[in-house]
Amino acid sequence: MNRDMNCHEFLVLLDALPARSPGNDARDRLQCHADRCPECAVLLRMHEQLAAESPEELEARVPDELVQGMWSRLSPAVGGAPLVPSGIGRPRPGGRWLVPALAASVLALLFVSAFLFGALREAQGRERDLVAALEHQDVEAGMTGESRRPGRLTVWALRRALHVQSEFTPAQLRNLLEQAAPSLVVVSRERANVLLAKNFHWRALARRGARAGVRLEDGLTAGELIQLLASLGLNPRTKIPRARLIELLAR
Amino acid sequence: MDDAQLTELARRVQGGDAESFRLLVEGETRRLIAMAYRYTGEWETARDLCQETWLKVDRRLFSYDPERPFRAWLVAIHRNTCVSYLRSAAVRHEQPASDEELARLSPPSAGPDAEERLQAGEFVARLRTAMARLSDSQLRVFTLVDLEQLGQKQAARALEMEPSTLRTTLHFARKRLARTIRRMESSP
Repeated sequence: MNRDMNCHEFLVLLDALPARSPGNDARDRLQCHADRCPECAVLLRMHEQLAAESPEELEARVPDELVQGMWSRLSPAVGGAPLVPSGIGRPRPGGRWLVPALAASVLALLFVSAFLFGALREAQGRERDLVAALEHQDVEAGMTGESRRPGRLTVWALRRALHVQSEFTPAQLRNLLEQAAPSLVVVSRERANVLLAKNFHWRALARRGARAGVRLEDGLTAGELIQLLASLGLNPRTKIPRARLIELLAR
Repeated sequence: MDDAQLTELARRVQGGDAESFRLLVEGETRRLIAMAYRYTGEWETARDLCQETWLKVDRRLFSYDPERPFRAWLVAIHRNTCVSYLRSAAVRHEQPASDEELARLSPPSAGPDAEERLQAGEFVARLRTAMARLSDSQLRVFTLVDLEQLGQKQAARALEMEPSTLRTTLHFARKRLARTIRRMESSP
């Protein structure tokens, strides 16, 4: 049968073909239709042009110097010198005492944490009772849900609110922060310095913040955190994991 | 480097390990430059786009969830960078490309004959201009399936789209490109 195919059949056959080595018969049938239909001729050419090289072949053609030079181009901008000198990794005099001292510290920590664990369980129980009592008071005072005014959220309530879901979009996070007073300190100076000392990522964030006029090393208010988030230019569909936010807002 | 290794490195970078970031960059740069080249047709520009992507990664790693595969997250950022370039390049280059530019755009396997290569380069340049005129969803589907040569099923998963919707969108994207290129060819 040598009947010419229509445009729909052409597209179906074009899609079904292996991208790079269509059989002669299929190629002839496509060409036969393309000779009569200028739009399909463009589609056939596009298909052949784009499939001319596989991703693997193209990767093999990437000039080596572009790949090798990438880190040296990036390194001044990322993971630069710490804003807060941590001293970690420097050789110290008397290093031979380090291992025994660490072992002793770990043992001491184990004893202390066993004691603290009991105390913590007790405190958590008291916290649950307190939350229940506060929620009861709120219901009695008619301050449920929407009747709460903005600017009332405390840091404690903010941290609790983070546990409602496992990840937040930038807009959800902004909404949450907007429920606190803009001047409310949500990241203390001490916490900020701990983050900056231990992780170059937080330092990168601090550099972004500095460009937006927000100094992470001084701690952050709710208003400043909103400003910092806006300066990151995150995709609205980005999901920020709760763990990262808890890490940021931890005491 | 496989996906699990990349994700583990990204997790370490989040924990403050700058050396792991260097390993990530060295492991994935070739792939990213090759991908960007499909959008730009120029190695230097592809390298610049790759650099821009790594800077975005550095800035946004804060929001990366290590429970998800890192490569998919990285490629999504890089694709957005490339698509933004494509749209802005189309706005910048109102005038037709020079012969030298067109020759550079054509891959060496397009044909041994110089004239043939020039024509292929011209076609690719028109294709890039036409792509910038697609709608967002059409452009996303077309770039994944036809430009990056991802399978349709894989592309549908990456875009969180029904396969039937992807096929329809792809069909309209291709038809629109063909019409636009035809118009460009008939009025040089």
